[in-house]
Amino acid sequence: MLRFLVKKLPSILLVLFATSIIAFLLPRFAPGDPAQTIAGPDATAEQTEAIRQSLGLDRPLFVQYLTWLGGVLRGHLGTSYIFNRSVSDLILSRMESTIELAVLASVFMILIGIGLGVLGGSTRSRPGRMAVDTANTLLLATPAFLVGLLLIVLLGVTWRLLPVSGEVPLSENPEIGIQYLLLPALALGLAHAPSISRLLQTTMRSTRGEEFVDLARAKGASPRRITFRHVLRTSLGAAVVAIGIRVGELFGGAIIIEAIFARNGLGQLAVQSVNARDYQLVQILVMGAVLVAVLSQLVTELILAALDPRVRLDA
Amino acid sequence: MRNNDVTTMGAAPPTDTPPTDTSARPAPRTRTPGGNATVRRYLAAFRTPRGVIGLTILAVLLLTAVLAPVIFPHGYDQQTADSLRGSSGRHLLGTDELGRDLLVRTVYGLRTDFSIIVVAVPLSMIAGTALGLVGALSRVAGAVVQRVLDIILGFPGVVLGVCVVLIMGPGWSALVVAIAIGGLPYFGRQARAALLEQMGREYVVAARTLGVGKGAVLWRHILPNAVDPILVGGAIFVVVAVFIEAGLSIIGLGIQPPTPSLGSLLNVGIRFIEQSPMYILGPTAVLILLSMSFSLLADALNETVIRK
Amino acid sequence: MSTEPLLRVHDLEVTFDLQDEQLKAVDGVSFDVRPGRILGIVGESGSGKSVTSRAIMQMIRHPGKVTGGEVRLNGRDLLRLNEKEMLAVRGKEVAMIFQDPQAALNPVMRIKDQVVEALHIHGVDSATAQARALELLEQVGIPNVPEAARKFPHQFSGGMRQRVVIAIALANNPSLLIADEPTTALDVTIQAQILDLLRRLRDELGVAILFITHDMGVVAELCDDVVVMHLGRIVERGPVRKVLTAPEDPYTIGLMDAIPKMDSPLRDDAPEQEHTVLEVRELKTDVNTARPGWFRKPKPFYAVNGVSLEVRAGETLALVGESGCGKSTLSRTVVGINEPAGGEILVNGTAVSARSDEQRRALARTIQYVFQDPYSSLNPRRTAGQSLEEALRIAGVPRADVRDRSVELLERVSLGPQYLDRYPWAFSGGQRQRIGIARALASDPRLLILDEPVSALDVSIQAQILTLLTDLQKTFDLAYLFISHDLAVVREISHRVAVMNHGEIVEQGTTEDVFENPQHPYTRTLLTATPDLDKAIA
Repeated sequence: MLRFLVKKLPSILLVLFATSIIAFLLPRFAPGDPAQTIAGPDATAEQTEAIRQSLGLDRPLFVQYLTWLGGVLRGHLGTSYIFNRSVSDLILSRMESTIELAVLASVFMILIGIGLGVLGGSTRSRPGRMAVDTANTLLLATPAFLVGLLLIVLLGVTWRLLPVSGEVPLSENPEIGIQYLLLPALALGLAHAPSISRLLQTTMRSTRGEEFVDLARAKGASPRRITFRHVLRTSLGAAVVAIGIRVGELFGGAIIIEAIFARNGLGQLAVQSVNARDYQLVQILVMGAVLVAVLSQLVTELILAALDPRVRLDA
Repeated sequence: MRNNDVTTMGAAPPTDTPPTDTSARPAPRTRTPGGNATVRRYLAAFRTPRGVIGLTILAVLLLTAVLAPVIFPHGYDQQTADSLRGSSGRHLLGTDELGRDLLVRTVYGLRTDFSIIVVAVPLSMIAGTALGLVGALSRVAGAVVQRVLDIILGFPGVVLGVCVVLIMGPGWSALVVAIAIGGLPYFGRQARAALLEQMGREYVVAARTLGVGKGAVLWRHILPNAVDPILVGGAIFVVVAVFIEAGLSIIGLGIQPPTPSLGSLLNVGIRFIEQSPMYILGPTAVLILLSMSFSLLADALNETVIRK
Repeated sequence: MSTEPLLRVHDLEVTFDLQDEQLKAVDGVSFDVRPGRILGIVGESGSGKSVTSRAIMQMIRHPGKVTGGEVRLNGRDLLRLNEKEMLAVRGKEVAMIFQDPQAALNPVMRIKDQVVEALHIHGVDSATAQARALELLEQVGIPNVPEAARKFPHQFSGGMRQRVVIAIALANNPSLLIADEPTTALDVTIQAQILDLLRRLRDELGVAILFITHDMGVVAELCDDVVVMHLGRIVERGPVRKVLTAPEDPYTIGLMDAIPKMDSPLRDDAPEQEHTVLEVRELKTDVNTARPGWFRKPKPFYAVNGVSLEVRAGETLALVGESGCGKSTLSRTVVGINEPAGGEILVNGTAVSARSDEQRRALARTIQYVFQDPYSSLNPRRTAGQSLEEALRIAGVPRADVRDRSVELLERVSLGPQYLDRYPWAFSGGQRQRIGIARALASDPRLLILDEPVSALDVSIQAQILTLLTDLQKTFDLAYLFISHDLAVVREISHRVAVMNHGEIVEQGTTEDVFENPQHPYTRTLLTATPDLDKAIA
């Protein structure tokens, strides 16, 4: 297992390294004076000059990068000149909301995705398949924000069952908090579920044609046993990889869902920082998003290795 | 591998080998050479139930969008005094906060979306495919390209969009660039997978041993066999592209109001969701229809064209 | 001999409901299997033999359906049982062994768990099942059972996997074992071991075996009785000895004629000339490209390790060996698909390499390659004519002459001009292989490398292609490097033989010398393992 990790490490580091360069270059690519850009439009000349000094903008690009990266690695994430707070403070204060959303959404996504996938991959009857296929096609055609909007209109505006705007942290009041969390998480999870279910479904259907499934039948195994012990068990790897990619996308999707449901999470922070051109903040958020995506893929590869001895033992 | 059963078992879809006359298939349906057979396979895809539904929806949407200036000659900016009204005989989908007809704005919004798709998706498809196939000409270049694509893949779609918007400023061109870049790893990987699969095929090896040049092998043998999955991927990617446009516009980083796009209409619509839930109905419905038509077409192509 | 049949198949009919037609895959098949006997069902691809065996277990794949007849096991008609009752029969009374042991085991379950499952399903308690599983693995000859039982399928070789599949089949002491081409995917030496095992199990356990195969040699070695199937019907039946020595049905007679025999006369047309077309000196090929780490160099693995041989004008040199011995890598190195790591390749006496397209083109004028799998060696998107055109253009034929030359090439392989505009899917396997040969002839080469050119084909087609090759050789004075694992085929087509094992040539000589008086122990093992039709029934 350790060997497997070590093998994966170089490509992960490469992605992170490239991301850090892109994040570093973002304010410098933007038109105009980077110091002015970073300080924001309302900054005074002295403030801009102070930024130029503290970031060493007069030094060579390479040195600037090393200084900046060194700072980030040591936890000095910088100061947002627009919010006038340290970036780490800002991020920490918004983190709970986004994590709650992403975790619950992932749970929805995995449950619905695998559930639908197994249903589609094991139904033999034509109408059953048609139903699952239709559900998949519809869900695939509906992105998270649309699911969100529909949920808002139906459950929030028409029937008023659940709150659709704002939030209460679970740590403060779990009972109310979950009510605020339920719809956005469902929207996010539901929209990402079909790509998992589709993949699982096709993998299961093609696995059914494998000879070891025939062997299981020849053993006298019941259809139920064949589906779960043999077909699903060997197809799960594909689903796990899909889940890994989706979890990363889910964090990205949270930006839009938070906007729709007026949740004050990292996504909203990202939108505000982009609109305000708060580069110090954006840099860190971009790197964070990529880090989460890369890590979630790594975790799923580890799970995959645990599931499949061929991956585990040959690595 | 000694007898025919082996090869058939390996290659055929999971049906038991039905008895086929080994001497020859007696009467192959007469086919003319060249592109005709390919065209016919695609036509067959459009005759499946999914193909018909997908194509019909797409045709209606496309026609409406193209003919928008003819159908609604007054443009999308005509204001009236009736703001935020529901459906009525004069305004089928109601009006927006400035009293503009929402049906007109939705149609013009669809036009914007089509204009983005038409540019961004083929761009991404061609560039991505080319990048994925680079490996056929030079192994080193292929490996480098794969690394670059891995890096792009590390960025979730919206985050990539945010980065592009930061550099280019929000608007039509930023969306096109964001979508085109976002699709690169998607098409690149598909092309590379097809490439690797084809490189192992004996007819490719046969051509190589004949002394056919790398470029000719790529053009004559690999590309034609790689094109189907990439076209299916293209249809699927249109859906992703529409989502990216709408997503970025909703958070205010895409098409900027008052220019209508499906996303920018939703952006404003959400603010008035309590007063006029009708507002988002048009763009939502069109968005779902648009993405559904392409995913149905992708399904139809996938079934008829690839499973052969 | 016991009189009551264990299994009585009567008038069985299986129909495939295809889109445009109803296809009767099995049409009125009847046979009996008696306790403790081995019945062979032999036939070429598409004869319906596999479908018949699946029908017995009610495991026919969609869109096949049993449309008539009876399958009585100990008097009870299995076709009248519902799926639930059938579950109790499968694996308990009738068990099955599959063709491809690689695919037949669940890749993510430990070996022992897969055996235990078979017992568990039929109500054996856990502790008993565990002990019995080890006992079974021991019985089928898995070495070091306690450790092996914990392994996963991919850690075993093909032969060992097939033993595990057999252990699973035997778990509940079934009275009937259905074996569907169980040795087809295996090398001959492994095949011999598996056949031994089956014979031993029959003797020890008294289990009856229904053995499906395309290989008459295997039938001769293993079976007591045989039925011959052709296009869904049984054309001949009887004791093995009788059917093989005195076949009555025309189809069986033709089939028996087509099979290369180990006692048929050798070729006596060895060319007089001494001109060497291809010479390979001390050739080495490294096939390990997997890098263990980012900065470590891969450890070389020489699939071809210091091989020297020569092929003279007009002769056939056969390169024989089992899978993984390096025979294909050797031939691929000669034409430049793999890069040599050492040694020399001489064509017409001059050293060549095939690194650039230019060099390949030059080489291709003398040496051409024919591939094993006729289904994959033609581009599905190009007509036969287009495939030939490409080869002809490269060989320098002017565009205006291409069509005429293509027709000429097709005629050389006994195909008419009407085939030019057809796509590969419209051809049978044998026809595709003919087109592959025609393509190779485009540049008027002096040497053809034939890489298992008939091993994917049915016996009757195989015989036709071998005849074609012999004719072409005589007409055009072609030299062949004929790569094969099948000794009987090699014996029929070759003038000289080189035996390859673990990347090295262990023995080389005239066909007569190698077959009649083998020197190397490995050659002897190969020869003993090859099922010998005539010795078995003599």
